[in-house]
Amino acid sequence: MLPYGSPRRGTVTLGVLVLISFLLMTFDIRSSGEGFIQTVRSGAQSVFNPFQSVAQAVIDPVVDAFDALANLASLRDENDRLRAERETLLARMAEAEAALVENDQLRALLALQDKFPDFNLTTAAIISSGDSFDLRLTINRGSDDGIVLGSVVVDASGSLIGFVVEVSEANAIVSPIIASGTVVGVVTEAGDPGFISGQGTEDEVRLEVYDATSPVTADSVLRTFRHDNNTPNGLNVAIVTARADVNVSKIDTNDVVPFVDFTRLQFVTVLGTAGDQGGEPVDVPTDTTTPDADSTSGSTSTTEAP
Amino acid sequence: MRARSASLVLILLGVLVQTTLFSVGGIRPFRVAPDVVMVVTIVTARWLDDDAALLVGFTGGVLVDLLASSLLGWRALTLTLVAYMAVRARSRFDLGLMSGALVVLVLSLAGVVLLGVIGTLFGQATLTEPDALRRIMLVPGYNFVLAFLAQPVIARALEGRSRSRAL
Repeated sequence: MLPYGSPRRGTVTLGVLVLISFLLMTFDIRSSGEGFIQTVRSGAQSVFNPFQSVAQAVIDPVVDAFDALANLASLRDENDRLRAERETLLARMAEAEAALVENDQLRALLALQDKFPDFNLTTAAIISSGDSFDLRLTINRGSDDGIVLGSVVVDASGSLIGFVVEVSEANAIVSPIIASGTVVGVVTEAGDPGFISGQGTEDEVRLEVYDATSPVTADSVLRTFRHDNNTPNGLNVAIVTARADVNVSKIDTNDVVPFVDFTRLQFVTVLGTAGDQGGEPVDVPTDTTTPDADSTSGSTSTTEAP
Repeated sequence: MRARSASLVLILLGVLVQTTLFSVGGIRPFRVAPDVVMVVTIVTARWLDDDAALLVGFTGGVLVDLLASSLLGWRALTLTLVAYMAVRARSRFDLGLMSGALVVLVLSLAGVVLLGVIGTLFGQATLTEPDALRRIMLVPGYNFVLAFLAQPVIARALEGRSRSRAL
C-alpha cells in the first residue's frame, strides 16, 4: 500500500475516482436513470430537500433584489417601448375616431339625396379653410365634377354654407354666408322676407328685414327664400339668439348666428345647378334642424317651414 | 481529519448554494450562473492533501449530479479532474489573492470545457447547445470574481483546523 501523502497515492485516487465516475455514467445510461440510480437520486433529493427549502427561503429575497437591479435597465427599455406603443395606439385611436366622424358625416351627406331629389349632389371635402382675413373655403371638387359657378353649398344636415364663387377643373372656392359681402335672401318664421349678410366672423351674421310685421324671437330659424333660382327655399341659414323688435317696419339685428358650425366643417355637398330648376326656386321639405354644439354640422330639432 | 470534515461541510454548502441561489430562477446574469462547487473544489485543494481534495471534488460532483438529475458521474468526473489540476497548481495560491483567483479562472475554464466535452461524449449535447459558448466564456469569469470572496472565507474555515497548510 502506498504511504499517505505520497504523490503517487493522489494519482491512484484520481484513477479510482475517474473509474468510478465512468462506471456511474455508464450505469446511469444503461439503466436509463431508473432502478438503483433512481433510488439513490430520490434519496439524495429527499435528504437535501429540507435544506434546500430553508436555503431557498433565505435566498429568495436576495434573488428578488438582484432581479430588480438586473432588470432595471430592461424595465426602463420596456417602459420606453410601452410608452411609444401607447403613443402609437393613441394616434391610431384618434385616427379611428376621426374616421368614425367622417363616416357619420358622409352618411349624412348621402342622406341628403332624399332631401334634394331635384338636384345633382356632389360631396366634397374641404381642403383648406379660410383664415381671419379670408373666410372662403376650398373644396376638392371642380368643374370636372360638375360644379358650376353659383352652386349652393350645404352641410350634412342640408343647412346653407354658402355659394361657389370660383371654379377650376379640380377645385372650387366657396364663399360662406359668414364672409363679408355675402348676402342671402331669407324669411323669418313669421313669413317676413329679409336678408342675412356676413360680418366676416364665424359666429355672427346680420339680419335685416324691411317690411317686418312682427318681431323675431330668440331661437327662431331663418331660412332661404327666393335668394336666386339655384337656391332652394327653406334651407336653414341662421338662428336668432335674442329677440329683435320691429322698429318703423324694420328689423336690424346682429344677434344672429349661422346655423352651420363653420369651425368643425369637414365635408360639404354642392347642389348641382342644372338648368332643370325652372324659373322658380325649389322648396325644400323642411324637417329642419337647430345647431348643436356637439355636432359638426347641426343636429335635428324639427321646426315648421315658413 | 478535521480539515476534511470542514471541507466536506463547505462542499455541501456549495452544493446547497449552487442548487438554490444559482439554480434556474435564481441569480443567473446573462442566463449563466457561477459554478460555486467548482470554486470550492479548487480553493479547498490548497489546504487539503491530494486524496481529500480529489474526494471533495468527487463528492461535490456526485451531489450536484444527483440533485440536478443530470447524468450521474458527469460532474463527479469533471470536478475530480479539476481537483487534481488544483492540487498540481496548489503553490500558485501562495502568491496572493489575485494569483489564486487567476488559478480559479484558468481551472474553471478547463473545467467548463471538460464538462462540455465529457457531456457531449456521453450524450448530453452540451457543446452543441446554443448557450455553450456563452457558458464557456462566462462561468470562468464569474468564478474568477467569486474566488475573491471564496478564498478568504474558505481560508478562515480551514485555517484553524489545518495549521500545517495555513499561510
